[in-house]
Amino acid sequence: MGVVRFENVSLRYDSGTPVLNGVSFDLAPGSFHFLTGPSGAGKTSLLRLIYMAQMPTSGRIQLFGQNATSLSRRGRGALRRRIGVVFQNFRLIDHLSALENVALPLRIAGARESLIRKHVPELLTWVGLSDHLNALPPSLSGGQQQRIAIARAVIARPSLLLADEPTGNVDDRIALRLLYLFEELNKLGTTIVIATHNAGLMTHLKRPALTLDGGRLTADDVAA
Amino acid sequence: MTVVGGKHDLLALGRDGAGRMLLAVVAVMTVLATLAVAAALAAHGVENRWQRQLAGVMTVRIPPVTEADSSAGDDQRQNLALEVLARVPGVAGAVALDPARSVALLTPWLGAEVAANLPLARLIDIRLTADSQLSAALLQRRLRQVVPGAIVDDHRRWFKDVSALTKTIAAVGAAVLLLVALATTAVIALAVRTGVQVHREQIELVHIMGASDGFIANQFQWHVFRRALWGASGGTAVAGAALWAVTAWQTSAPRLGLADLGGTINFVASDWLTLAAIPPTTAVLALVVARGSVLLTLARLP
Repeated sequence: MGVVRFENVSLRYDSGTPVLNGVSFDLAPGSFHFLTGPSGAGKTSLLRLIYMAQMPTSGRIQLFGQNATSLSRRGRGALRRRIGVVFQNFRLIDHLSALENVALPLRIAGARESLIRKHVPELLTWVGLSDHLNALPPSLSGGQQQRIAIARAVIARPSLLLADEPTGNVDDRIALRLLYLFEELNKLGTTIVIATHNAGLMTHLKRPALTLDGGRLTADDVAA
Repeated sequence: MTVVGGKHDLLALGRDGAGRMLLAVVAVMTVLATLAVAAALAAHGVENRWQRQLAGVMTVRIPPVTEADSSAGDDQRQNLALEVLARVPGVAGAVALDPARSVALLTPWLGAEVAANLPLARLIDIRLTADSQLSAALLQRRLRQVVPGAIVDDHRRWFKDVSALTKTIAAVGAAVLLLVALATTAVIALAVRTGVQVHREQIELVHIMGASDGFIANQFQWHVFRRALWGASGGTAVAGAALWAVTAWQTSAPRLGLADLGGTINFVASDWLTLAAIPPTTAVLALVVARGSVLLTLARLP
């Protein structure tokens, strides 16, 4: 059973041209994939379908063995809590401190306050932000905000981690450190999909890639 | 970090202007609601008081002696009537109203000079026994045998009109209350929808993170509950102060004679409790409306 399974999935916004067209693939549990392709190829749209920010125009999406397109709202919520997302524009909540931003998935999951107070500072320390626990995102640099976004995505130990250009705003040293974090999570069983333009990154890690072009999946190493 | 209803204010709802607008509008609406309820309660109270006062009593009215009718003076006719009443079964007691008292009752409305020179009917208050079956018509027939023109009034016709009036006031109060509730509901729904739009990005974010609709609705409903409770408490306090001032003023203005007529507004403890229930009721209404509005909006997200 795949963690993510797309069957002939298409997506069209309103009545425009299809953003994704007949996409099919199957990601095995514990796999690590890059998602690549030129700008406008549909990478972000594909990720949005996986984390159910929208539903496909046609086709079927299975997540953790369940049909996401026909699942109840409550069921979708439960699936979403198993997915961590690093957004391209971070999407941090400006009025919440770094600590509270990272704590958000735990609060949504109903975690105990003592657990939150223990684990969140630990993770923020690990990503090099121990001095900025109470800082508000607008007062931090782009790289620091990105690390908060990554910490928020992984704090609840998701089964599936999706990252949209997660190393776009950090230097090579921090980028490598973040990739090692993803690798560590992957070793613990987390399935990982990283959308990136960074060819160097893909070469460095030597992981399979889903390649999109014009809304179609062109690479076939993971095709369903 | 701000805490809303015991939960963290993840959406910073306390910072947007919609909440302040909501507080002000709810306060104004609650002033109107409180006054409407108070009017209905006051009307009901006056009706009950009059009903209690008039139960088991009748009034005999003996018209003043005219030039054409010189068979007896006013005092004689009154005494004759009292003698008859003393012998009628079912009459527990009869007391003639001092003519000076009748003049005093009219003085605030007509002035002392006019009231003193008016040919006034003599009035006799009758108290009936508890098991009395005496009707006004029967008593009037008996009295007219010795005092022609005497009129016995059991106040039923008058009270029927008063009762209709107080019921109309209560119905108008209920209608105003309903309109205020509808308007408040609409304002709350609008404020919540505005709040949802303002915080749309954050709502979508926590939705993507797996927050249930109930989790997100909780953020709004407790925020709105608190605002509505504050606003409604303020509104009810203002209206309550105005009502207290009116009741205090009427008792300090005896010249109006309202107390003699039983027409003063007197709120009993249960009335004040009813008025005190308006803020929590409004807050609960706001909570329900806010939750419903948020859930409806969230239903549009996948």
